[in-house]
Amino acid sequence: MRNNTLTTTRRTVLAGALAMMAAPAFALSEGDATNLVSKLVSDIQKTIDSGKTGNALINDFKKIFDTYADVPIIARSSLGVTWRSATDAQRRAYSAAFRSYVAEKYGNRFDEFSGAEITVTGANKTKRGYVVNSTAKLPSGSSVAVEWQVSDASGSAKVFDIYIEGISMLVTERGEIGAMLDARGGNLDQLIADIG
Amino acid sequence: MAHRSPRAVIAALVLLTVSACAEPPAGQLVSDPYKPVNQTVHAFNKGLDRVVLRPTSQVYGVVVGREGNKLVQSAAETISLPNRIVNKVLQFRLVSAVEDTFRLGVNLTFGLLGLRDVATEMGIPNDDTDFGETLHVWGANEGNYVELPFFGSSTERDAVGLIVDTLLLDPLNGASSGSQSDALVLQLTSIVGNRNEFADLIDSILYESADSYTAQQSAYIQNRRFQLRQNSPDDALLDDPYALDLLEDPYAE
Repeated sequence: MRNNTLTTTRRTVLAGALAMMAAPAFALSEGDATNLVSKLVSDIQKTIDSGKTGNALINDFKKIFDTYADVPIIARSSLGVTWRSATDAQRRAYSAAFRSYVAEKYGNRFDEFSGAEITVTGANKTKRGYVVNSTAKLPSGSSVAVEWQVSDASGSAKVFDIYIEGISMLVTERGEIGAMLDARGGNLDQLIADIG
Repeated sequence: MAHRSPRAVIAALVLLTVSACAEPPAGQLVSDPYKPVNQTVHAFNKGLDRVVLRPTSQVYGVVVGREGNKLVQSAAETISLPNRIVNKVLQFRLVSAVEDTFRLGVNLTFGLLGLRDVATEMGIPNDDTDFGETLHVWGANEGNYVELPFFGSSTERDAVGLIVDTLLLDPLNGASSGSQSDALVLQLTSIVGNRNEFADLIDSILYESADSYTAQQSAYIQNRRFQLRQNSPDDALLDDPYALDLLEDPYAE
């Protein structure tokens, strides 16, 4: 009997602990996810409309990236399998370099959305959180589907991928970083020095 | 007696495509066994872009401008509508086929022979399609990746789709050669217009990426799969960077 009770208690405690571990993954509501993306979109639009150029614009994008994106996960994922063999120092240096690289590359690219009207249209549940759907209506008349993947697996709600007409930033950057590594004979330190 | 028409050959190709099976190897976006040939074609296409298409589109951008390009794109879309309607019927998407028929009628009349896209202004959904998508609806896998001369990125399934669209489902097949060449000029103009409208994106893929072959392949395949999915994204298709959690602590320094 005693044994049984103990087992039950253990099980309950274990179940409780598992539930607590799992809890953060379910704490994110659809409203949280859409609110995060709405705020992010409005910050992006303010930055684009500010008329800033060059480094001022890129610095603003760095701030947005730090505030809204799950930077550690994005950096790690962009390096793919190479992350596993990298030393702690290399991982830190790469993450910092990747942050500048992304802000520079996408800061300039967001120019293309100048004059665009971005509207959040809905959200779908995924295993990691939500995909928030939005449409960017460009001045040329074309509309572009932009989807934002949101998760709170990091402890707070963050965007970890953006799909533009189905093209994932994570997948694209993993391919690009992989090609840059290949071009440098797999030398990670050289890559860090070049993109940082 | 020897009545082996091109149509029979195409029908055989379509059957082969529907029954063919090529899953991308694990860890790869798409199956690419023809990579060496594809890379040669890519070098040719890229050269063609650098020497002809890109400079032409830059002149086009200055001469025609944004508003002019809207007219060109609208007209090019209007002449492609009969093909779209046939494909939607073949895909059993009858509501969408009726919408496209309405779009054709409205744009040809109130839209001044297709120069203005009145239907979109009225809020009619505008969803392009092709025979590659029809094959997808019929259950064909995308097959291996191919880069076609002039046409660019494709898959085996979509290459067969392109042949069927061009040779069998082109509404102007029965038209006079004069209107056929007009239509060709319009289609080429619309390609130049698109090259100009999406110049930053295309330039970044072709001229600013570390490996333009892979960058173009990745963008094409992802975008094509996105076009073919009718509903919200499938979890299985979404990139999941957290999946590596099982192997290590993502926040470990």
